[in-house]
Amino acid sequence: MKKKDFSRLNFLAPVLVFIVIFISWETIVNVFHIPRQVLPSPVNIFKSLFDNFIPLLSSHFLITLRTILTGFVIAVPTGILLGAVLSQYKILEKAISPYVIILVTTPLIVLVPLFMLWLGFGTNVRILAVIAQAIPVIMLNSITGFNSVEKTKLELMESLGATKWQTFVKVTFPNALSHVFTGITLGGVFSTISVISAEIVGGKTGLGNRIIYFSGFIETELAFACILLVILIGVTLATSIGVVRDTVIKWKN
Amino acid sequence: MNDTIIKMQDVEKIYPTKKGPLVAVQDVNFAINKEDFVSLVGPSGCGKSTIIRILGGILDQTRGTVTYFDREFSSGVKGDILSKIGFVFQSHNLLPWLSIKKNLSLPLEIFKLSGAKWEKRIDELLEMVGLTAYKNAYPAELSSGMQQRIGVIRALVHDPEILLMDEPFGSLDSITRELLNFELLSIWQKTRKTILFITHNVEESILLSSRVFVMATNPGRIIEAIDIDLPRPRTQSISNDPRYLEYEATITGLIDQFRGVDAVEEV
Repeated sequence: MKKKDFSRLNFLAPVLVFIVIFISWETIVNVFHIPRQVLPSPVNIFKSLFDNFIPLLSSHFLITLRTILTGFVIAVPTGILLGAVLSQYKILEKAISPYVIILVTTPLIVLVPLFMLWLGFGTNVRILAVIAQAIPVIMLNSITGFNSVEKTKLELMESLGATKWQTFVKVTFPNALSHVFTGITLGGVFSTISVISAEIVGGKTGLGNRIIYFSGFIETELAFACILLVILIGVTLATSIGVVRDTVIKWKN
Repeated sequence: MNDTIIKMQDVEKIYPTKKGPLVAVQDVNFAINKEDFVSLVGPSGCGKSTIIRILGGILDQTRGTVTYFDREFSSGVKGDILSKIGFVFQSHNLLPWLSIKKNLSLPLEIFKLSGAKWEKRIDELLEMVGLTAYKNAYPAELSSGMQQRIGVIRALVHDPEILLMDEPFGSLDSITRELLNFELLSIWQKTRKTILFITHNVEESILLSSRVFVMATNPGRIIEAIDIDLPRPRTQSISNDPRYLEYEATITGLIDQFRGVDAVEEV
């Protein structure tokens, strides 16, 4: 029974924080008469979101969502596969990993203009941005997972005379799953961030582009509404990954 | 030839280390007969685990030969002979992502043994150790004693003739350990497997074995093979047998004697 109480508390706590922030924000904006162009009140942001979603925002929302998902769906299996291959061939891992780290640490925003120079301003360049940002983080976490197998578990497979493939399927891969999911979660976050960055840098569509566009017209409420939609995408993606993870990983170590 | 089924001849294992080659075991020679229960006893670092890992196909020896039945291996035990061996690890070494049933079917899958006969064998073994109710549980849901029981029956599931046990009960509390020792004796009496059992516990080795190999360190080697001539089935009361005490004194004496020599050398 206690456990149930805790899980309810776990759910209620962040909701409570949301309510507190919402009310304080609303109060501060109203009490100090902050102009809505500077900082709109949350009530007005939500109102503007609901009023304008269909006519102004939905098409951009769908474009952004599709770009993120396309990139993500390409990046996840590629990242895991690259991680698996590199972890099994140490020399490859040694040869490539410094460049992967360079790719991860280089801010994507400096690469996007180059990509656009080569590929134009369409969605392809944004998908490329997602892939370039998400694959390395998924790959690096996967490598950590594939390398973190306990020696005794490998010895078990050796004592059974298992092949390298059998060992990978039965031990190395399931053992790596929790790290792989950490990579996928980060990959989801990075995908969202990189699409928005790419949309801000260039092009005329997508939520990132709309944030800049509406800010330019001092339509702050609409800009905030777009930010809310970005958050919605990010949170939904992270939560869905969490649900998949908990369905796949049913055991405790 | 008699009924020798495991033989090591002049086996040596050298590990390369940063400080240069380290001789883990040297001049290891022994033969184990069918249905024997042999213990390998010695202080830590004497190479007990190295020997059993070479026998289990986990390590390759640097020199010497291992013979199973009539098959000689000069560079590591490999291939289908492994299906005649069951290996029990120090830790239970179950795979946490597989249910107990799946853990027990792992050797069957690798050795390509399928069919109702083998499915039934899993159930029988679970019944033997009283864990039928946990068939679909994950290892983390079991106590450490239960986990180690599953570790033991996993090594039996493909019905091997030989059981290699690397300090299997070393990590358990003394009560559970004693219980499992007697369970192991009854399993051995029922199935007549040939067992090589590693321990650093002298009492355990006398209680279980028909022969005890005593090892010393620097380099790891077998210094004495002692036949344990005590009646079976053995019970707790065996420790009152004067011959038991004699064996204990002899083995402990041997271990201390050789440890003493090392200690003097180190000064």
